Amino acid sequence: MTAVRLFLANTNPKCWTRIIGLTVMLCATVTGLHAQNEKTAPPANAKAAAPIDFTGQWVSVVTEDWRWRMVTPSKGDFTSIPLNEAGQKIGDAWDPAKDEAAGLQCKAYAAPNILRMPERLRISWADDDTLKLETDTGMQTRMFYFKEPKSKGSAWQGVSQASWELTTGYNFFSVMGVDGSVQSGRKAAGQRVRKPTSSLTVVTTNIRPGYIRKNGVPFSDKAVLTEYFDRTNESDGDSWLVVTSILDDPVYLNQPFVITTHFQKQTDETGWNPTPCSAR
Amino acid sequence: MNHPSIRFLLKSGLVLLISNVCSCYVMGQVDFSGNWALLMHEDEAWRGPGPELGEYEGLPLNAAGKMRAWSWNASINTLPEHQCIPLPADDFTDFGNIRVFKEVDPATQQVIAWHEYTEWQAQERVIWMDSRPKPSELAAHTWQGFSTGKWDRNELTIQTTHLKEALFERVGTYRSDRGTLTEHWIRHGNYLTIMLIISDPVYLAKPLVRTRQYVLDPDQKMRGYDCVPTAEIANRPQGYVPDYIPWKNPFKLDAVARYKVPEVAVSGGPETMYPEFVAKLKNPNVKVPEVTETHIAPTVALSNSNLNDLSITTLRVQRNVYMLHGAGANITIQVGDASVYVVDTELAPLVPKILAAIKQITDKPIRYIINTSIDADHIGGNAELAKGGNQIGDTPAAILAYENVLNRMSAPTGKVSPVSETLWPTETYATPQMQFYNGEGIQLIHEPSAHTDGDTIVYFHGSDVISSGDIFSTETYPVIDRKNGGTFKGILQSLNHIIELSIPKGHQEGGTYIVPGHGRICDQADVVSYRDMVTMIGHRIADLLADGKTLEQVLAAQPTMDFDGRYGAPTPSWTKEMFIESVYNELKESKK
Repeated sequence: MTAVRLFLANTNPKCWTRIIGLTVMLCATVTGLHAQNEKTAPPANAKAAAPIDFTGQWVSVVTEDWRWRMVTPSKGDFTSIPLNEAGQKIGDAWDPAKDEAAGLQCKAYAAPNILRMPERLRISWADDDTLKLETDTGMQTRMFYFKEPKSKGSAWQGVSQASWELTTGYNFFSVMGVDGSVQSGRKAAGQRVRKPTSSLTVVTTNIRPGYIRKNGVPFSDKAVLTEYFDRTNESDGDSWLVVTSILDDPVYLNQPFVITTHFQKQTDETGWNPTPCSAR
Repeated sequence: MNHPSIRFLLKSGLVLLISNVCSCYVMGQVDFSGNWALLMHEDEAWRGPGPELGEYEGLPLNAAGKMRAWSWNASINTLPEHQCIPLPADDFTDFGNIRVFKEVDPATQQVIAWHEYTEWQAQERVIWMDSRPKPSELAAHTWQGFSTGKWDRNELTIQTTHLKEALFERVGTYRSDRGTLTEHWIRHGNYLTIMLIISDPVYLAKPLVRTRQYVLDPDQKMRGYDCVPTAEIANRPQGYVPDYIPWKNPFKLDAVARYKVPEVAVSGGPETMYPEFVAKLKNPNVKVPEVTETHIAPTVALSNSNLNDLSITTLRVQRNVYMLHGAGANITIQVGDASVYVVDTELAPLVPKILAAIKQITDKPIRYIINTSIDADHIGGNAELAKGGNQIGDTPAAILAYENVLNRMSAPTGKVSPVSETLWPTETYATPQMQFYNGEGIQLIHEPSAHTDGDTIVYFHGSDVISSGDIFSTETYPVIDRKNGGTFKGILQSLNHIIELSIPKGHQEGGTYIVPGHGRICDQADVVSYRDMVTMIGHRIADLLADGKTLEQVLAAQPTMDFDGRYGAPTPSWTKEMFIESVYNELKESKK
């Protein structure tokens, strides 16, 4: 405020009124504009609140882990996975014939591995608060619930709670609440600021135990899968879906297993080829 | 001042104003600052020990990319000039932890640039956020290229150009220096995802897309990296380049035997990336169709009319030396307190523009002109440019060349000389020439029987710049002017000589810069890359010759196919077929 004092000390008092008027007008205009944007009523549902559109058909482009995704790796090949001893023991005992006999061909098509399959995805809104992801490979369906999940889990795709990712920060002066309301002034100082980014967060639990890879690398019923869905827009018109997955499994993993899988946007529905699960 | 109400109103106004501005900043962009540990939960075998030779499944290589890869011999990394090549911008995510920090304008507090330091091989990238323009297409390329960033919602999108040719896998898969990189940096809490999209018209049929992950690791300690190249294998001849004849590479199918990668997939190609390919993997009789197109941009012959429209581009190479680029060969000029020293003179119609470009740098007169060869686009402006300068008093600038240049321009008395006398050198040299001029030593080095038998390279010692003439070009295969005494062997010897004379500053980059006869500014690594290419093509043609192939059969075998997208564009006077024929004939004659 020293600069303000110096300024006032050297300013003709006749100008004060004009200065004050201008300052107040400027503040009122900026605040008004800001508030106008922020005081808009919060969107009625997840679909309306969507900061980005993930719907449409996407194709996986397998440029990573090819030897472990396009073909079924050999038994005991756990390359890249932070598998603990208990996990390795189970992986070493993998027997696809046994899985087939038990009707468990879809163990590798569960939520933690389904997006690693060479496949096409179809993403659509099942209702205003539920995003649906279907795969042609393994013919699996995942439901991402923005509200109370309708599924109780224990299936291959578990229960997926979805939310639009929020940025977190601290603001000294004004705060926008998660519901879109704005608080300003000293009461709001130091409070947390949250604002939607363009990412979708999906946390999946209650997954029926299955495989991280087709060759029997296990995950347990304690596994929690956190996924971040992002979409890029390229200058040549291409668009990519980028899914970062973090699998926590205290039973079979030494540390979270973190991978990212990419899919290219299709402009049509060609190539959709529903194929049942295969244990081999 | 003593009106509490006024003070209150002003304070409130300022607080409101600042609060609005601050809240905008808080709602702004993601902060990537910090130390990040690399997670290798994908492609660990490829990024750690590395894939097998010949293993390219899932890579969208075109036919040229495959042929180049099949020529690669790991032993090339033992050459001193290859040892310190670091991971380039499109491969830094393969290995090593990183540190990201921002450079902020002290006045506005806006982010000017993001810096990314990779521990492995100590590489630092700069991603400019201040909307600065790209450097000239003729500017030097680097391993990390020139990167600019732009926010797209919560993603930082980075575009990188000006990359040196580099491997993106340690099995011979190259991205050319015409390739570009797009990245998306996305942060979710303590995880950073970097998506890379590598595009290359020379070696990739489709963009190669990769995603890599890091986790925030604030306490990690980064190490330095000091690379000092040394001869790892003794008694190799100068210019030795280990490679495989691509059609005879014995390791092409190693991954099939070792890792059971289906044969139909192992050589890669765009088809191998898509789900449909799974069906083909189950059918051993299906063959992957080759992608045969290479993208060769035709060079347009210049007429006088478009010479009129053409402008001269000036780039400072280093210290006292500049490069001027117009229509013909590059001009190198050295500028000092006394005068201007010019290497090559382009074409006569461009001289007024060349003089104007020089005037933009200095008002000192041109005192010396050097011709690096007899070529019309190196000597065309001799007379006019010499007149535009002066040596002593009112005499035109001196024109200096190796004596064979004058010999080939002139003719015995009574006969018509092939080149107008006005363009002849006024002075020639036949013994080593060293001058101290404009405050630095200048060495004129005759390279015997390379592009022609009159070639000179000019080494500005103080500025640490070599002007190579047509011995080296970033645009075409070497022009071997056999009619004027040029040889393939001489070209290779001269390229190796330039490599021997030049010293990189660090990480096989910078230090001595080289102005090529045609194309962009280079350093030693670029000459090494060109020398490797020329040597490998020589090996292939020699192999075909040893197998008794005729010239027609050699041409049909396309021994240059993997480099045609880069150097094969025909010019009005030189084609890849002429290059192959020159090499073939010379090698055939040397066998006799």
